[in-house]
Amino acid sequence: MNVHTGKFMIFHAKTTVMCMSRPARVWLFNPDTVGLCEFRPLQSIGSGHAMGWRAGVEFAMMEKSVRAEFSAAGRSFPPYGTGNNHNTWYAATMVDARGVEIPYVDRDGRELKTVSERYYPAPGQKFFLKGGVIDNPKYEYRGPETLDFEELIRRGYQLPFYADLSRMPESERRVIWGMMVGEEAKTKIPIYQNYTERGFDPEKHMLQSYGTGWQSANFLEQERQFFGAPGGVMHDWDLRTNIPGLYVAGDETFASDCAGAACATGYYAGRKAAEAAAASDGIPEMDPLDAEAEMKRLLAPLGVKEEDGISWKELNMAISKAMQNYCGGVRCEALLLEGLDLLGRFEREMVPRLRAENPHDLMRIHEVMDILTVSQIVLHASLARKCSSEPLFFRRSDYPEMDPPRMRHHILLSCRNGEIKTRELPLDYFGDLKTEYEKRNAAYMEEEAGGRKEWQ
Amino acid sequence: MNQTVYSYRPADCSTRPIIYDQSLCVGCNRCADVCQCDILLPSPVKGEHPVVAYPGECYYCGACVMVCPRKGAIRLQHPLMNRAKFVPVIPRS
Repeated sequence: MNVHTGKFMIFHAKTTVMCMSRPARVWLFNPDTVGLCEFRPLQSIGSGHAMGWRAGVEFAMMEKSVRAEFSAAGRSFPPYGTGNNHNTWYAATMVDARGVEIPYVDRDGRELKTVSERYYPAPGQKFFLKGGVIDNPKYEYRGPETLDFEELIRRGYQLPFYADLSRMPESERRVIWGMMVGEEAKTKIPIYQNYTERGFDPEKHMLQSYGTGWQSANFLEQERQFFGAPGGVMHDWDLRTNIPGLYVAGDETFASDCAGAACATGYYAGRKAAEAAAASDGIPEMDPLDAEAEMKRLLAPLGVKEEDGISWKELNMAISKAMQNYCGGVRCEALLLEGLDLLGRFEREMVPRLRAENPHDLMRIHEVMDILTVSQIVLHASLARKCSSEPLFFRRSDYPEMDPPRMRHHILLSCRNGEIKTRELPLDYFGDLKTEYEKRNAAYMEEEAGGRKEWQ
Repeated sequence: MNQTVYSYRPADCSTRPIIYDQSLCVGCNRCADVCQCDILLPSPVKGEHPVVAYPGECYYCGACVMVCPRKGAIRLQHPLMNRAKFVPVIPRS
């Protein structure tokens, strides 16, 4: 549907790659500044998840969510716009309120003396991982980091902390403030240009940190987000879903990891989907009755009378409150069933009353309907995992045992004809990465190797 | 032929993310085209800047400022609560 004109369009394809980011606004919503509710833009709210669910796609890890951390909602600040030493700002020099420099240490606690050392692995370590979902890497992959917050307070360091790029070599300062902050995520405008216009000079000023530690805010346990490799669509080695011809890429895959994974999986899924399309005979027939039913569903809110209507914001607020109440930091069967009951009532009684005056409102309404579907998936997934789990940041008060051997597997969840289906899959179902990749990509590897020789 | 008529009502919002300078804007509507959150409506008056129809839905990406052919015609303004503090550096003791 064209969101400017309301025009309904039908696409025919031999294969399809779904790549519609990850869910958002499930627990976090502010009707005044909707655009600041989450880290990603307004339209990235899990529509691909909802579409997949309606089509019978299998999902994994949808019970996983973390306490909100990098949201722009309310109490938070513009992404990349506070003093910190993570991700884009790695490895900024940090100081406390007195201007005392905060030490960096390697994975063994050895204090690093130079800025340069912050970018190198520890002696004997091949490499380290930083950024994205790597909040708490295993010892094998752990890199240099500033001293733990509790230890800093014990030693007398004082809040607030600041990022002080003036103490770094000019080349590193320009990489963080120029290349990284200037080019990452959005555009040069919200941070690099805006702060420069406000008078910020990285040689003369230090930028404040907020909250305890390095995040730009503190959130409550029930204010949750799909961060840290969240759940999504299950797929095989070709990034193919359980639905024939349907592929998945980017943040829509389960355990996705932001931009790098999106680029890699997008390229890979496109290649595999194109190969499959080239090998298939024809485009599947479309049922006109299906199209008619979908058009009716999509356009229905334009026909709701003003006196009967409710707004998309009212429903989004109600969903978010319900998820905080019934599917927050601690979950149990009775709470989760209460949540499903309430969302079921919203679906039956409130969705038919959603009212749009124009295609823009209609777009927002369908986003919230998708948020409702995603919330139901999360509740079903939470019910299916009958244990607590550390890697999934998942706590059940009625099943407090943490990651017992009986539950160390994926629980795949799908909806078929209105019925919830689950099945188990071993965590290491993909096998040895190198062996399995080479088995499935021999022709591509040969072609690429040939291309490189020609280029040389 | 039936023609569908859509309506739009201005919504109250606590923030003012996009500020136009009408003396510089040429009314090309490129900002309205590029906005990924669809918050801008072309002005009903030709040559005038677009209407910030849904200010609360701004994602503060700055794409409108980047695409504008006239420097200074659009300014992005973070909400007051989102203006992070910076202070002069403290010399090393």
